[in-house]
Amino acid sequence: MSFDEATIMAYVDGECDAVTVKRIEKAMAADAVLTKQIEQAQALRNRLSAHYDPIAEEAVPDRLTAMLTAAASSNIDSSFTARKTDRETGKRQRRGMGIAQWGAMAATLALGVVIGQFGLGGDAGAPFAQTDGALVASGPLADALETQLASAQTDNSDYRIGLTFRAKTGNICRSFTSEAVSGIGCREGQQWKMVSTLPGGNASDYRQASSSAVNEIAADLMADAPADAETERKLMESGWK
Amino acid sequence: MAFEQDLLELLPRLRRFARSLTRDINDADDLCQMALERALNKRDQWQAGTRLDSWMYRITRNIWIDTVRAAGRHKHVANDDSAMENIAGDDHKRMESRMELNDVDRAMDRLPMEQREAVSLVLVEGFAYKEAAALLDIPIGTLTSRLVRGREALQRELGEAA
Repeated sequence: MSFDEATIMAYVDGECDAVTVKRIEKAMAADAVLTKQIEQAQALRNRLSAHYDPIAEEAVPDRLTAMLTAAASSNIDSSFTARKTDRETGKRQRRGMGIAQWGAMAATLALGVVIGQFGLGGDAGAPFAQTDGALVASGPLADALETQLASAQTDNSDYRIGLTFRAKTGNICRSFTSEAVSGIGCREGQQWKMVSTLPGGNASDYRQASSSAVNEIAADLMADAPADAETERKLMESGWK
Repeated sequence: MAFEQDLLELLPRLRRFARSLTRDINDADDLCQMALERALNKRDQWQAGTRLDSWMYRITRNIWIDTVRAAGRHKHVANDDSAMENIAGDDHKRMESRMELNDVDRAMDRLPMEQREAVSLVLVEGFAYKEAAALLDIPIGTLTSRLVRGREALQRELGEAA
């Protein structure tokens, strides 16, 4: 797999999503050219930092500080709250709240909602069933996870398969989205056990948010990188082992 | 009081930013001084609860652009000659600091302004793409393409040892 310059740059700048990070890091292991490109981009960042950062450590010239102390003595400003808010947002300069954490939290909450919404077992159309206290895929969702390839999807199915990957536990897992529910199922025995479920959504922006939250969780679970189309097909032929 | 205190805490970073835009330490401090003046005059325009650093960076960057453009109208500026030098101190001082220019200064100075400010905000100041794009009022795709081109040029200038 090859990556364009913008993607390599985003990786070095910490701007890639978690799945792309995994893909790049996997590719780096086998691609000396890519590794070199990334090293060079990192070296450039380091060189700029080494050159400019000492300036922020220097003493600020008096003529600049004097402007502020003079202004301060002629002004009374009581915007303590404003200052506090600014300082707090300043601290979060590079990183926002981790979506994976948020996603994991939402997943726990959503599980109850999802079960409440669909009920368990009985109904042949229900996407979930309970086996030995675990939530597993059933009906159309089980079919989708079992037989649908992400590389050859039609609009006929209610479910779209996202990523297929081997988890750190060794099991094969697959992410899915639908209007009602999104999540990740991992193959255990003959079943797809739900490790994560999130509400889906009709609005496309909501679905997008849900799918990116699922991707973050997937990145957290995966041992390596997501399977490409050929690997996905081979995994299906071998019964998802 | 709080406003000035916060500006004071911001000053070291602002000087670094100004320096990466102008390459010359005296020009950089002149730029900071103008930015502080404008910020103090327009303090009412800063919205409490929004980021003061983004607001200050934006002011600084706008003054830099204005100054370079104004200088460009008055005199033809050679390619490797920063117009900001016109607001620097005396000639002797300028010569002195010019001799201290190193490869990074020179390479940054050769970048077109729009690439230089993108590189500076993201690579030197550590702003996220989204924040830098908002600060410059440009779409994120424009920011990333300027970053790609700016980086390529710097790598070329600075060579393997970048």
